[in-house]
Amino acid sequence: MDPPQDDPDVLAAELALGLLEGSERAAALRLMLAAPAFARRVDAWRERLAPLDDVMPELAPPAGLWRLIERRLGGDSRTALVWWRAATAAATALAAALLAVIALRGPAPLPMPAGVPTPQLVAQLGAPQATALLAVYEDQAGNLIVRPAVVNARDRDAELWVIPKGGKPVSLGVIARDRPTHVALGARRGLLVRDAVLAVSLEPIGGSPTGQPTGPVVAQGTISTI
Amino acid sequence: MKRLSRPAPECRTPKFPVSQQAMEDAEAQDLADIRRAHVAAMLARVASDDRAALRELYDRTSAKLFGICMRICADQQGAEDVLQEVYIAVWNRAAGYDPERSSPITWLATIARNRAIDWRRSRQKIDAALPIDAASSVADAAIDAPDRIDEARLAARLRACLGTLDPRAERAIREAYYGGFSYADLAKRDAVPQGTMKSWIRRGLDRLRKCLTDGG
Repeated sequence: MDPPQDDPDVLAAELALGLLEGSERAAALRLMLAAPAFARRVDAWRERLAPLDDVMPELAPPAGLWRLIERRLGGDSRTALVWWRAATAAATALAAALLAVIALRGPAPLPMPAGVPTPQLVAQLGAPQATALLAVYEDQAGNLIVRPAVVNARDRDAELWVIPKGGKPVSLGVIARDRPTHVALGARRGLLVRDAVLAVSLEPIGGSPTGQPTGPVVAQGTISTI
Repeated sequence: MKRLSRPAPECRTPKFPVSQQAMEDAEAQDLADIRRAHVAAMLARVASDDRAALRELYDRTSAKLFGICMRICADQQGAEDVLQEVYIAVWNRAAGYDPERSSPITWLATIARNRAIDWRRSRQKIDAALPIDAASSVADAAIDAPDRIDEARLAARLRACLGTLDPRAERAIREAYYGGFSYADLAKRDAVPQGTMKSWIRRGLDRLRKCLTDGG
């Protein structure tokens, strides 16, 4: 017999396995936002399935690969965020991971109807700790709803930015620690497009005093179509 | 690297053994805990912007993660690009690692899996020349037993439970895991309607969960 269509544990397994695509995947990711218990189910499945990796042969990457990584970490101007990194002060005990799901047509109900997937924009920041911070765009209301940032540093706030391709960061405001933050996007909606970057930086309480990021970037990701 | 001279016995039920075996297992468990704590400690140092710690982590884990990337990307250059992204992501997000939620290796492997899946789907290489059947047979053979006994036990249990599934479901679940295949990919592969594939797998996952959590 088939498990019930809305069995959350089976859905968690589907997400952990990577079976879902498009709007179904986005819907499951939204559920992670809404339900920490569901996020724990996904974690549990990842642990359960992990032994499958252990029987597979390891494969050493080419010798020069580390140099490439080091070079990219060291100041590659291709990313708009390098200067943030350079501005990183001493390590801050902080855990922030952001998974932004921007649904062009707003949240879809679960389970998703079969058929043509709805076009989605997705930016994944900080996966797989996807529950720490997650943003959902609600088209009807024009709001970006961001779940609380997990910020352990008491003297800092997490600030959300969108960085247009080739442009400067535009603040989307400080993210609350204890409740979902509703960001009224207004004209900034146009910035949330494919290839733009969403990022979170640590700022003085109340947000960056300069209008540009001043603290370390703790999560970032490029918006893409799924 | 391999500490077991023999593969894990094929049909051993995952019951806790006693006496000598139990003591050996307990020692292995301690070792496993130490290794796990070591990787977690490296991650904590990475979180405090310690570049040398990232290098250590890379030396220790890159072969495992590159194996995952290669299986899913099925493309050398793609896997190399993805692996770079993975360690850059680790560098940026190590502070987000929560040991309460997952083991450090699973956390790293999940980043690699997700990145590799994103890469592959962005290229629509659904029918890439991934030797998925070879991958399945390697897994079935399981001669390369893990070098940690607790892992061997977990792996044996997972294998035993997978073995109780409808073979079509078992195969599809393995392929999804190893190859990063979606429902659509798997249905196309097996030339069955997506709903059929979904039904096989969902039933299989339901059964697998019951087997893993209830022991039956």
